[in-house]
Amino acid sequence: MRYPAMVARRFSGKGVEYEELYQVASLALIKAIDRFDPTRGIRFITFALPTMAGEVKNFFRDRARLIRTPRSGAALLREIEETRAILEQEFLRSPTLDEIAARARLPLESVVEAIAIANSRAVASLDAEPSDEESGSLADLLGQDEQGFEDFETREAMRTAISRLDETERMCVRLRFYENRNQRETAKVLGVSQMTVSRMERRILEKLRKILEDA
Amino acid sequence: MEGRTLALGAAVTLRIPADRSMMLVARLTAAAVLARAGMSADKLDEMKMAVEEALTCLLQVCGISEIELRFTRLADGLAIALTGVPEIGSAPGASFDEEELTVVRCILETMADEVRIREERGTVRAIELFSRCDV
Repeated sequence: MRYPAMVARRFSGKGVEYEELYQVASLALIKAIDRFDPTRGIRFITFALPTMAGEVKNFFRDRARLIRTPRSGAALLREIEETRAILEQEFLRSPTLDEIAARARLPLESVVEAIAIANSRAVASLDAEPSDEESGSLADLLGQDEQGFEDFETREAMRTAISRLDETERMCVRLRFYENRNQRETAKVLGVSQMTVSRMERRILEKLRKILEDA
Repeated sequence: MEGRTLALGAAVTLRIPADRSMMLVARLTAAAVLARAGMSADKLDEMKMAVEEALTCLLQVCGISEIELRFTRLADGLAIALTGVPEIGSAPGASFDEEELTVVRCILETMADEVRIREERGTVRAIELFSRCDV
């Protein structure tokens, strides 16, 4: 039984027990003996080896698939993300994939593949066309907040807050933030030093923040 | 690359240290290229195994420092050539006998549509696999 052992050995050490593989190869050898026709003029081993290799390969592939993907894709990703979060808190740093795989008791390959799949989903370009039937980009299909309402509310709140500043402060805001003048130019218009404008600016921003928070 | 598929004649080359720990890198690259070449899931699984087996075989050859994997998209499938890069100043030596090589060839033939094992002075230098596109 040298050949079944040789075939089984080539597949062993990859997650499936050698004994199981040897058994499958031995059964394949028996099948080959039953089917072998010596009148065809080929050596027995030339006929039996492909049969054994094929049977073991199929067994290994099916078994490996079961071992590698015991959970559905989504469940696997969720588990990896949860383990990642736990380890991040534990180690106070981002865990390595080896550490995630060890803690989640998953093969490293499954972790790498799951993360690769998740990443490839995340990087779909919003500029890409969704399909042949639809025109425009993926971004066009996404719902959007109506920015105009928010802008209007913000503007109204700011107008009210600015009205509660004194005249010099209001002038400072207009020059610095509406006319985009630098501190030196603003100081010149207001007839004060640049340092005074800098302090005034800080005070104005604090005042505005407080007014807006209270509102 | 053309859209989501590997264009005809396009090649992807990966060179890895001749170390078992690199198997994952080779397997994942193989999977990605096979997927881009439009292989079915079953073919992809089988060719990943074939790449692993071919790599295992080359790793048994002494005096190899790196292994180069070259994936080339052909009209009817994907060709994968794995070549051992010898260490500077040393000649690769044989690490398994003819009988074991027959078993390796047989295993590879159950996974790939075509297998060519290049030997030089009694040692395996390169393994070429070909997988026909089945979709």
